[in-house]
Amino acid sequence: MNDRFANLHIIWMIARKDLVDAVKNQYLFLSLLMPIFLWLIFRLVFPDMSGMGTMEIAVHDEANSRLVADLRNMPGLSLSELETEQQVIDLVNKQASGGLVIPAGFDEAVAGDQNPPLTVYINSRSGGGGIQAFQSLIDQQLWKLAGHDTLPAQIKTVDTAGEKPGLDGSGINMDRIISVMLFLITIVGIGVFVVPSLLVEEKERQTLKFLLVSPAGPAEVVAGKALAGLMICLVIAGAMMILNNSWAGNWPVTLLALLLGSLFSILLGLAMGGFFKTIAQVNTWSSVLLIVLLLPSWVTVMPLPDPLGMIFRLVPSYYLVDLLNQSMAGNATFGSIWSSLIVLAVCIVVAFSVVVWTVKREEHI
Amino acid sequence: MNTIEVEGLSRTFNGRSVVNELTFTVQEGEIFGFLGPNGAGKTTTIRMLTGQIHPTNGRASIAGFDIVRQRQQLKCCIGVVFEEQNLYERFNGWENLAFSASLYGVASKRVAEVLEQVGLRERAKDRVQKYSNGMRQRVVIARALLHKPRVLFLDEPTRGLDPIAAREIRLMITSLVDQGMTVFLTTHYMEEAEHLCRQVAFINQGRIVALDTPDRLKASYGKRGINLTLLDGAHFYIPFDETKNGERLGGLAASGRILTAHSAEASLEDVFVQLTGRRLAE
Repeated sequence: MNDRFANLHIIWMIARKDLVDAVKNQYLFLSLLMPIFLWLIFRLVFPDMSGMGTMEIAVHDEANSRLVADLRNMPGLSLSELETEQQVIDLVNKQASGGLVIPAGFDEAVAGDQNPPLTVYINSRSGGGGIQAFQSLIDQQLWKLAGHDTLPAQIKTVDTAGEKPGLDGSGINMDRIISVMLFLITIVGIGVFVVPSLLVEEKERQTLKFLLVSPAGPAEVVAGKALAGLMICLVIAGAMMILNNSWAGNWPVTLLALLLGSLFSILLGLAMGGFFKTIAQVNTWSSVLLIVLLLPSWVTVMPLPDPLGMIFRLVPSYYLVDLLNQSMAGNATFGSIWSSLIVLAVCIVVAFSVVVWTVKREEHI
Repeated sequence: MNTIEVEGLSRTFNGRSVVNELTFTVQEGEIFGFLGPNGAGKTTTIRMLTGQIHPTNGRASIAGFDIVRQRQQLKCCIGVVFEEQNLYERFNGWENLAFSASLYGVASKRVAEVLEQVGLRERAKDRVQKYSNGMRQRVVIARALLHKPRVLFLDEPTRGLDPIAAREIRLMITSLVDQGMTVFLTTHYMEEAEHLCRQVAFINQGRIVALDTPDRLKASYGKRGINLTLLDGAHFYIPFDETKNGERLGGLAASGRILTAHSAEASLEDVFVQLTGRRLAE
């Protein structure tokens, strides 16, 4: 038992040293901040509601809904309540950020968990920022109306400019696309770049020799690096959740997806660190892996032709993207996410086995 | 009492023998010199004795702990100074030692003690990147001493240091041995081995080719005599094995004609060349 505590102490000491070292290493530190820089850039390109001045929304409300009453009282909103659906379409085409058509009995159906239809009009020609802010606002108001983080209505998004709606039929939600991409960049970037760098730098500078003659064995060294990587991953991903207002939808599923994704990516990074001997090798191969693992985030942006979609399904991060998409849209159910969870779990087990093999190999030299 | 016991220790890499049937013992409080050219098997031997790699054959124990079966206990009674100055460059001297102390479960008070011991207390908060080679080497030695090991392995500890820094390191090694520590030293510098070591082993192509005290090795392989240079430039070699030569030497000394006189005994370098046909610096 004492040995086990001693091992845990050593693992924590190595992790703590790596955390301090990562902050002192300007190169690594900047790469840790990269997702936050990207978030700032995305926010400049797609500003949220607070940065946009007044948002104009056209509404045709047959239900005298609380949703409209709430919108009426919101600052920074100009609500045009119109008589017909066609008038909503016309105004969205002309100037409004978006439009809503609420059918009769909407609030009662929401209260009864009947998932009533809700038609949302957008104009893709009017620019991504306004649409994204409008859609985020509608999602938030619907969650508020339902009193929980699952979307209480079947949203049918119609683009008045005639473009095709997004994959899930709910149109393009820039907030979600950006969030998923940033989560993926954070997790994959830290896993396949930062974590192997921590290990390979020890080899390159020969400090691994010192660690291996100290009470730390190869297993403790690898576990310490994994712990440091996991902590960095979860802290940055947590910051991204706060910055992106991602504590909505099925946020526990979002957290689970981030945890599983981080574990997979860190184990992949440790396996890379076991094989590579120089930082130059890590830089080369992590760039390749980064591109491959980030590709599936495009499935949230555009519908892909079948062969490409099938190829993307071979990349483990596809399942992470799927989990994040569903959880952040608020429509994740056990039935819809179990297959992605299993695939991710299997990938974690495989990556873990490779890491254990490299450690054993090191121990029996 | 033997602190290091090695018997038939061998190691092969991919079928190629790198270390072959090494057998020797080192007594407590002794400096044991392990000398050989690059690629002779010195570092592989240190890696086996410090538990970094397993031997293919043979056995060895350090302070009574088997290097294969009692690896974890072994780690606590050895300190290793590597050939490379492998420190965490972005950390300062104190942080480097504090991290090592945390791995061994040593109190931070001890960090201050060893910094004092190696004369680096004043510069402890400077980044290691700013240290001279000599200072870095002192930090590496301090790190190896933190947990008060019984055996210290020093792999080329003065390599690349200026003469003053090298002298400081040698003085430090001597003072450690005075305190009862056993030192296993590999070096290229023959003078270093001659001055520090009670016993030296020459290793060549993975085998020990000679093992004895420096004085006995030099006597066995060198000449007993003296080389003289006279004031008029003439050179003489006078062997000690004939009685009449003593009188001759006395006569020359009394005449005041001797400019220089040098012992004709072999240096350790000469002994190594005679034994292997190679130079140590190769």
